[in-house]
Amino acid sequence: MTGARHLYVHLPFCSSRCGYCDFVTVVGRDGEHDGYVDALLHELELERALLAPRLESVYLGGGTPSLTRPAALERLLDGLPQAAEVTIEMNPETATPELARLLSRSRVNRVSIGAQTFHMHLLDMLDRRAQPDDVRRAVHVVRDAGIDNISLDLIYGIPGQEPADLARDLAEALTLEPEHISAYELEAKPGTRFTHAHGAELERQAESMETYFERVVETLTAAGYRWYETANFCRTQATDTASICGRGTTSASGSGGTTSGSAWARSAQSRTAAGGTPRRSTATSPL
Amino acid sequence: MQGERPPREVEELSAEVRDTERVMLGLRLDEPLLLAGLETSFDERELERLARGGLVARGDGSLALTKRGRFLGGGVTARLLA
Repeated sequence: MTGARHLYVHLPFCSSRCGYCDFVTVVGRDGEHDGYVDALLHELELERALLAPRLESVYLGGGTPSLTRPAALERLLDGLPQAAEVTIEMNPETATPELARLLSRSRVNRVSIGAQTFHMHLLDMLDRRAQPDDVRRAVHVVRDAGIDNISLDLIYGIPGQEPADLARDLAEALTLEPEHISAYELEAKPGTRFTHAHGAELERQAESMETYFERVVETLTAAGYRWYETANFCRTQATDTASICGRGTTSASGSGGTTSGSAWARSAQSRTAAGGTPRRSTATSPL
Repeated sequence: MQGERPPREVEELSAEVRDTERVMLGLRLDEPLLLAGLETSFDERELERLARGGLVARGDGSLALTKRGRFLGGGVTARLLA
């Protein structure tokens, strides 16, 4: 009997909903963080038999996991199984030294920061709350807390994004020297506010996106990153191990995400092999 | 609900789905996909056509997308699996 080696934990709370996001999120239910964590931990007990004795990775995605009330977040992290790699998604504007220290002492060793872009007008287009400086500050705050595995999420293909804007986003990201970069093409997800407002524009610009994708790949590989997966890059001067270039270390959550990228990440993370039979298991805590 | 087990969904992957996923996920990576056990998953003529077009590269018992193929990504994989 083996069991799942990767665990994805969803924290749905957000301070506002980004127009392009089609993940399960809730806004304005701040009083429910503790109850949600209680339910998660209870469910974990019920489903523990599905998990391998030793996990390779735990991934906390959202939503905005870094928005979770600190006491509830710490309780959750303390209650989760041990894993070689524990990642949490962080929105830049939520980064504080206190939060980063909490994560560090709770065994989080990888932080995925949803930068998306360093241009204010493009952040506005995505309804992101962070400002460009928040991203830089978040990276430093996380590093200062001793967490040395940082991933930055970028989105390209935002309406109004000129090739020069993309070039600058990539340059800004490289300046921060993250161990890992995910770069997703903005996608019009059915039923989202963004698709309603800008879907036609995304269709019109679809062809030029190939050039943008090539620019992303050329720039990051020229800077020494390995293009190990369609939308994912890792720094090759860092130790080339599964913990950085691995599979199961990405989630498109919090970003636009390509359909296949998102599906790939979720699927890779939730795959189990209990009893030699591959299975996907989804357990949902009631909110 | 208090005292009730939360909803749970477990999907048993059939051999066919498992193979398809191996191909779809494997070709997103920069390492060659090992073909052992996947021989029947591909449309062989399409594979030849894509190889001639410089989109896929066949190795010894393995398959990888070329750089050009990776830029086209999902479209190439979809044709291989068609």
